[in-house]
Amino acid sequence: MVAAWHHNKILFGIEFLVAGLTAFYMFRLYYNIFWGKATHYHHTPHEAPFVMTIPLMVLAFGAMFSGFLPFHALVTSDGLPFEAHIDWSVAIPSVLIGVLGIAIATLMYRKTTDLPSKMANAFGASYKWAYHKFYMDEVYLFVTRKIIFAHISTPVAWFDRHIVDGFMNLVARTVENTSMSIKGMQSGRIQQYGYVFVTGAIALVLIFVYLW
Amino acid sequence: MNILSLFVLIPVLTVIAILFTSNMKQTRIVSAIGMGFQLILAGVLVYLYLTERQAGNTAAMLFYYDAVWFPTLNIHYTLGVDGISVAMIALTAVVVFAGIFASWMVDFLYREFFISLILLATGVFGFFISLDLFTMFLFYEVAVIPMYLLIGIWGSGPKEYSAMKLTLMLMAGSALLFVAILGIYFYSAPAGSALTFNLLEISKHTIPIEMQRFLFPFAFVGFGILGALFPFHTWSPDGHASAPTAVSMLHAGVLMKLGGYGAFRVAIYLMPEAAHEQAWIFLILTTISVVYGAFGAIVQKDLKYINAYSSVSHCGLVLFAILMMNQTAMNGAVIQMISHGLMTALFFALIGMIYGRTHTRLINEMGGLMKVIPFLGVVYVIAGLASLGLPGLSGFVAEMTIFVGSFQHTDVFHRVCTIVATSSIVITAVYILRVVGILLLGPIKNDHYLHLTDAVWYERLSTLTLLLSIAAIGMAPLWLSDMINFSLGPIIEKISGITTVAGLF
Repeated sequence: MVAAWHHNKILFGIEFLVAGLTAFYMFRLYYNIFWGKATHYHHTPHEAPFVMTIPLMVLAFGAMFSGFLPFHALVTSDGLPFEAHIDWSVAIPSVLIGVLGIAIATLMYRKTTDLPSKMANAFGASYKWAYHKFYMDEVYLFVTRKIIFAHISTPVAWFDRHIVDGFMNLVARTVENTSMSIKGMQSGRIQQYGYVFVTGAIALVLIFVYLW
Repeated sequence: MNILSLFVLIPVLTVIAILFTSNMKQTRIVSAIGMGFQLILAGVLVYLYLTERQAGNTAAMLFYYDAVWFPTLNIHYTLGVDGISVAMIALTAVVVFAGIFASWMVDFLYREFFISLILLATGVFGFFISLDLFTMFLFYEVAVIPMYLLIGIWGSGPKEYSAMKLTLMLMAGSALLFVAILGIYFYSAPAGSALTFNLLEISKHTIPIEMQRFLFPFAFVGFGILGALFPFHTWSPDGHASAPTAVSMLHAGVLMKLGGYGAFRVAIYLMPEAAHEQAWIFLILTTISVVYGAFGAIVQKDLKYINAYSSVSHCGLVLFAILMMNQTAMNGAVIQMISHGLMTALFFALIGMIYGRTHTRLINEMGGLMKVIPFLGVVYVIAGLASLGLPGLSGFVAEMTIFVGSFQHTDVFHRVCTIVATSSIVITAVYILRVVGILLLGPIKNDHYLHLTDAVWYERLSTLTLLLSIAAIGMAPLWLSDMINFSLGPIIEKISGITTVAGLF
């Protein structure tokens, strides 16, 4: 956030706001899950076994104390350590907005009130957008189902079966039909062969006599 | 005896041995022993090949053997392998071995079934070890003919129609091929010297460019039909859907590779000038194959159709990479042949096993199978991940190499083709994950499925053989790509050495 403050005030503003929002939604979760009236569950909640709590403890320890690692000396863009100090003009407002977020969450969720629904109504459309994750999943589904499945793949599959394969079948059927229609010539009937032979001979004679 | 001849001899001996078996048990044990031996032999061949190369043998073809069998036309029984054929032989041995175990329960005319299956394998092995065009062609036909019987007799659905369609289209392909081979033969040597079918001899001589222009399309389309080149791929969905499990495995896993291998070994290697001139036409067709097959697969409802269209896409990628005609892409093409051969065989094996349990191949009628047949389900997911190119499995190595190689071309045409073809990766992910979602996850749609049993030992053996090979290539691809690269070197030299001439031309 210090870097953002020095380079781009708009970015800083966004980060500042998000810091408050994070505090707010984390405490919303906290109050909703662990405070308020006890609900009756299908399975009664119980403490987690050690296989789950021990990793959680390790992670919690890391989350609490990783700030003490000297990152400014370890991770830099040019490989050289740099001087880092606390910038109070950024640190104090950041903590304050975090506290403000927590305070609002406490006000809204610590006890069951109608404040959250009132707020939801007040924000109207933007609440609905956010609630539906800005409809990103719907957009993805639309692209895959409605565009790729329905308007690319289905026609491709149809084209393949009816046009490409249809052509191959047409070739085969043409050959078959041609054979069917000329197979009568190989009937084995001597009279027919004789008839064709004599007709042909007469035709040839006529051609030689009159047209040559 | 030359080790390569054993690859034809062992299947033939196995076939003879099957004739003397008296029941189903004996037949399948004899088949399994024969093909198990063949698998070991393939391992030995890989080992011998690598040690020979290590010892510094730089001949183009190793284990060379030559004998005349029809002197009038100078037809030889010429054998020899390089890294590429060794890899293809190893693939074939693995797929055939897995195929035997996938058809463990075939009980109708079992003797004839295994005989046809092994004859088919004989043809494929013979094809990969031959260096004589005519003998190669002969073995190719030996592989195609049992296919007709296998689909027509042991198939399902409209099997007579599918068998006829597949055989007729492949025969049309071999007719084109025959014209090409004869054409090559008549221009195989400088005027005055004896004509030859020997690949190595022909490659030393340049076939006149006018003849190349005429013959190249015959050779490339002839092999391309077998490699499911758009628009000659329609035998593939029907043929695979009707074929029994092991036949689909062998057909998609190995026989379709004959197309890619031949297109490269015969069409491009012997006629590089024409290949350079005409590559653009076929590049467009193969780019279409790649994307079209993938889009076609998305909306299919039958598992076998999905896999057949997916094969059109993946085999299209093989031809696509071959046409890029540079070292990296061609290396990728060979790895893709191996990778696709293994995973498509695995898919067809799994589909056969799932069908054997649920008696349907329609994905909409199934669901939640992961809960009842977890072994088959997990293997299906892994095969799917290999198919969509997840790092660590063979598909990633192959596709990555192909696209890196293709992108080395800096002109707009090749770049556009590459980008379009690359988009198939995303589409592949869609159809793979769609099937996994519908078939394996979600609620169980039919109560009858609750009592299904998971894979038994021969099914596990069959699928694990393939799965381990896929993972082995994915984890340690370098020995394979080094083996291929070494043999590609002189071939690329010949092809690209001619580029400059063709460029001036």
